Amino acid sequence: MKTENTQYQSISSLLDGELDDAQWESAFAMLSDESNLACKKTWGIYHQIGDVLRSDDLAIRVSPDFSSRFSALLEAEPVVLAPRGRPETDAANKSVNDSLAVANSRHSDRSGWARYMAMTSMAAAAAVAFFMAPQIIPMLSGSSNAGLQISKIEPQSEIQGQTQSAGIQLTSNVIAQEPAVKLTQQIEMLRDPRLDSYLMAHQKFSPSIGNGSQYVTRANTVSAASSASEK
Amino acid sequence: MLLQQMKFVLFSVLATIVAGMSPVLYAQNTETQDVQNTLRRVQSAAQKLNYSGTFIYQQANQIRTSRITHRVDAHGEVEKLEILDGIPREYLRRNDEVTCYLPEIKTIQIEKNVTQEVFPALLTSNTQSLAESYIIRKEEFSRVAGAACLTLSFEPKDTMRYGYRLCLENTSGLLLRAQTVNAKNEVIEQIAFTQIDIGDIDKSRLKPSFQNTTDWQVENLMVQANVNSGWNVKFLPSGFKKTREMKRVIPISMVGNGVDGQSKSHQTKPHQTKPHQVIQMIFSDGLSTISVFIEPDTGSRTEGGLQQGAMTIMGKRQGNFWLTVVGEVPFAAIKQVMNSIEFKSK
Repeated sequence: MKTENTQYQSISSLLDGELDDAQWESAFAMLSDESNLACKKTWGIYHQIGDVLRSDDLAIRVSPDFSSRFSALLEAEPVVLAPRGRPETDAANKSVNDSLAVANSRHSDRSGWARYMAMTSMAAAAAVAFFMAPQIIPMLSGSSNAGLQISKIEPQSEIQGQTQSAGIQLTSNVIAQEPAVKLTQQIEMLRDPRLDSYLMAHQKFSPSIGNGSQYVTRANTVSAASSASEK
Repeated sequence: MLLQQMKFVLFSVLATIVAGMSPVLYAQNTETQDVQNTLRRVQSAAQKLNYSGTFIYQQANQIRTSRITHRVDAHGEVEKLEILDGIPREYLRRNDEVTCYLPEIKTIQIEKNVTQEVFPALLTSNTQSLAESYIIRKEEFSRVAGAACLTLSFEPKDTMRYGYRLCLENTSGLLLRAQTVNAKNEVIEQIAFTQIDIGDIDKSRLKPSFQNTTDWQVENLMVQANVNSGWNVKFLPSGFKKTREMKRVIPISMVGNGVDGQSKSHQTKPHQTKPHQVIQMIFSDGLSTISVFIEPDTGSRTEGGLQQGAMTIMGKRQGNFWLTVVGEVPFAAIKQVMNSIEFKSK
């Protein structure tokens, strides 16, 4: 049990990006061990917890072969060799590498890995949201209580102690964050100053308008900067 | 004989049951009737009384203060609404025609045939339908803006809307405070008077603050008040009915300009915030409202959703059209509406 606990702890830290290089390698060795099913499962469950924290809509049970099918689809995708926005990061990496060539070589690998993982997990989330959309609605109408949805998830986990404590934390977090939204979406939407006009057309004295002006000014500078860098 | 006796027993048993039940039924009926009367009083108080007051609108961590002055004369209602925080705005309503003054950009926006339900006239005229979507209860007396008031609680019957707590001024029935509560009974949004005077309001207080507007630009926001565009929401959340469908103008976004005076002239024009025509459909369950906007897609927007307090807004592309759904309802309801918008030829 003690080794298991450390294993789960290191998976959790891996997800949070808190491991140092040595720990990072051993955690990955552990995860790539085909015989260690419990670890894979934990990895999945921890991601699910993260998803639920980010949005109640993601409190869904993924079909058992989701990962394998997703991997297959990903495998079949053509590789984009020069994604947009890379030159800048590459330049930054290069300068770092020039100065700290040896010491940092593994680090840049790792940031690549982290980026890859972030991308796949985002893609997975997007895919889930997209494919599962029709199912999400009846689920939400069935129970609005986030706590209930979480307790629905819990029984499928085999690591009782760990998830239960995580579950408690989760519930309180969910309550605290309830009216908040997915941050990424929020940022994207806030770039559109037209939104306020719609709010106003719907509701004359909505407070979002004055508030919007701040967001929009900031977002404008962001979008202006990004469009400039594209040119 | 025995049969007759049995019949008698049966009859008396039935009679007792009916007699025992009827007071309960009667009490329920009078209570519903009582609530209905109160609801009608809320609406007529907001429309028929003379009053003036300051109210705050709190949405998540945002707050906005407005001052309202309402008066009834021989020609009907006159109302002045001044937005006191942020960019100055002033609305003058004469029955169903609203004139909005935007002093910073010297613009007057006119909207005709407006029957929007706004605080404190929050309820639609159809108060009967409220009981379909909410369990309505009379609650304890409390105090808002120095006035004693009665609380009505609206508990939603499903997850497609939020709950409400309305505080009504004791003698007149005027709505003094409206709180929106989520499933955990937490207040996520509220509008409340902080100061209110009910009674004589002098005519002079309803004049627009901006008299010399000869060089101001005038925009007419309403294109057509009643249209049948052929657009339809297939799966409306239960209890919601279409109250209006119109063709209107979404004006220039105020916020892009005039945030601070200096940068106004050379401020980058962020997107095409040109005024553009849209179809707006408004759906209401008597208390919660959802607006659907439909317009040709310009290809320049990002799909997504945003939530603040009880307000949810979502934008999505559908074929050659851009759809926007806004409402003070949970995300699930907005999503259900958004995903079932379809075009049916007339």
